Amino acid sequence: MSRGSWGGRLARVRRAWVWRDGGAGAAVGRIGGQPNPATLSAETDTPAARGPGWTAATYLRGLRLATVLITFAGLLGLALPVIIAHAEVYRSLTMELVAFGVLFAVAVFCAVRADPGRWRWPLLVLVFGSALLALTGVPPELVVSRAEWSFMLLGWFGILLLLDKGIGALLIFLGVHAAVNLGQLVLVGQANRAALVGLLIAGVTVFGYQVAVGFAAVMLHRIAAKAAVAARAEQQRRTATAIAAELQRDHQERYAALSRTALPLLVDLASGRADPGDELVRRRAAVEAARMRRLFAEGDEVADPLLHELAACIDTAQRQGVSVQLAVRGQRPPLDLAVRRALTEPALATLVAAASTARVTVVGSANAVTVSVVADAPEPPVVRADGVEVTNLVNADRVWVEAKWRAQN
Amino acid sequence: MASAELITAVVVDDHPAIVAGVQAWCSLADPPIEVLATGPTVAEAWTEPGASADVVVLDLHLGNTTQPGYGDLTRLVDAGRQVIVYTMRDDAETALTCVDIGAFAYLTKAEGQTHLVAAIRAAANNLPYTPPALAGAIGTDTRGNRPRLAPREQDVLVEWFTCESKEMVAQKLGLSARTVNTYIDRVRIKYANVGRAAPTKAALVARAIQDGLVALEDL
Repeated sequence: MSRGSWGGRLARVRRAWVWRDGGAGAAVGRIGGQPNPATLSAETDTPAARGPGWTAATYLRGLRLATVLITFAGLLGLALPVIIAHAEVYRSLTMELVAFGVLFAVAVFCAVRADPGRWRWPLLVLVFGSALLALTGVPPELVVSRAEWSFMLLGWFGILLLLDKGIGALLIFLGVHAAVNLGQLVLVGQANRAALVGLLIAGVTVFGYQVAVGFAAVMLHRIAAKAAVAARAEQQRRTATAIAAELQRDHQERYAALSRTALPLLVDLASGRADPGDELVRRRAAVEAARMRRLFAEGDEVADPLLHELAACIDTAQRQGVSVQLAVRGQRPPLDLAVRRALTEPALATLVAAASTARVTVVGSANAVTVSVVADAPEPPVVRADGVEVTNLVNADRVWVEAKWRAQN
Repeated sequence: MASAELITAVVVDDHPAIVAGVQAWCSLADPPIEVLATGPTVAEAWTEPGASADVVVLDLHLGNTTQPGYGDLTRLVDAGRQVIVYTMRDDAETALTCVDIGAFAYLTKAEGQTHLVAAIRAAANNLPYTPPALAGAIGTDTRGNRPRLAPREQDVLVEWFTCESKEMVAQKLGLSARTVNTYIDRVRIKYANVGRAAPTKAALVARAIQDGLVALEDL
């Protein structure tokens, strides 16, 4: 489903909420606008909506924190004492200290920023560079020994930097790391059986932990993603339900609006109580036709609902051969449906009663809206409409009917 | 340009039916208004015989342009011509812009039959004339530089726009028809007195003061 249609429907639902608020009766003049925040937040921010995705994300954060702690513990508790203890043995102590410093800095960076972002690949290069520096600083006979401290630590950096890239990335990282160490062993001519076995044992022990953590992270990632999808689907379902409920309410409202006036007319016509030849009956029918048109127009998504609904009323009159002019002036605030109906109702009754010409005007200001009709119609019945003030004026063969709404404040 | 003399006009409109209609209204008027020249471009108003006409009836959209011809209007006004903008366009912003430039009146084509002849006559005599469409624009004007109107003046303008009958406005607001006219004219003078200076505006204000419609201290 496209974003647009969801947006439109949501807007509808929001508007419907505003109607409900406005309909509560506090003020007829309540102007649309922001939906009730309590209603909306209740819909979108329930624990159920955050649910399993939120839990998995929390565990993932915990796992990451644990990895950061392990890395620091490894650097400070294992590597640093080893470097100090072997200070005399290394080919270059500086190389070891530089490598340690760089790795420490990377660890600090990872502790501060959960997502390395565009620094991921430069950091990986730095990590491998430091490992190479540390490795080449170790004398050949100590390549497979505690003195080569970077071997056991490097995997944790792989996890920190590649946590979200899947288990494959971590395995490649560890593979490259092992290959570099093996290569160095061969290069320095120490590839004897004891050294190889030593490397293998160290590799299995250390990598085992690291791969296990990597797997856990991958699983948590998957759960989090699945849960997010489920949560989204759930939310869409709830939105769809809300929309359906609102549409149903709209339909019922419309039916109720029609049944008050249109159905009695139809019943009268069917039973023969009303004579279609009678002018008054014909006008009643025309009014109902205009109301129906307006009712259908109320459901449309348009920029200016008042003018749109008024156009529906004008259309009915034009179909009866009345020449209608419309002129609009001033800026109007947005109006509730009930106010719009009250404003157009007197105009509607006058328009369908017009003999040949009518002029419709809409005048708006910041706190008042007037819909007015001048037509060559017989004096229209006084239309009662809540929340608006209706005035009639008759002069010679013309009537002037005006409905005015004022903001209440 | 005294009222006793024959009033002359030039009609600039690219629609032959409009030109024919305006000519017919002018010749049927009592006393008649002589249309000296008609044509689809503003050149008619600058060359004889149109150049000596008392009043220019100007369509704001000549040819296929989508932009209103404010430039033509400005040049005519600055040359001291009395211009009545006569247009299809019924929107407040255009109406107010034309008045600011110094157009004598702004008339929509729907209002032509009722108001154009009277507007031409008023223009020739430097008397204010405010048809309903223009009244509606002024009555709902919210721009920062607008003249200050009394609430009653604003009511009268909006009601005049709404019902197009000064009699009904008077009836509704409990005023005499004369008072309604005075309010409408006074507002028009207030608008002529603000903004860009133009000889036509000055003439309108001068005539209003001379006739006692407004006092100098009111402006």
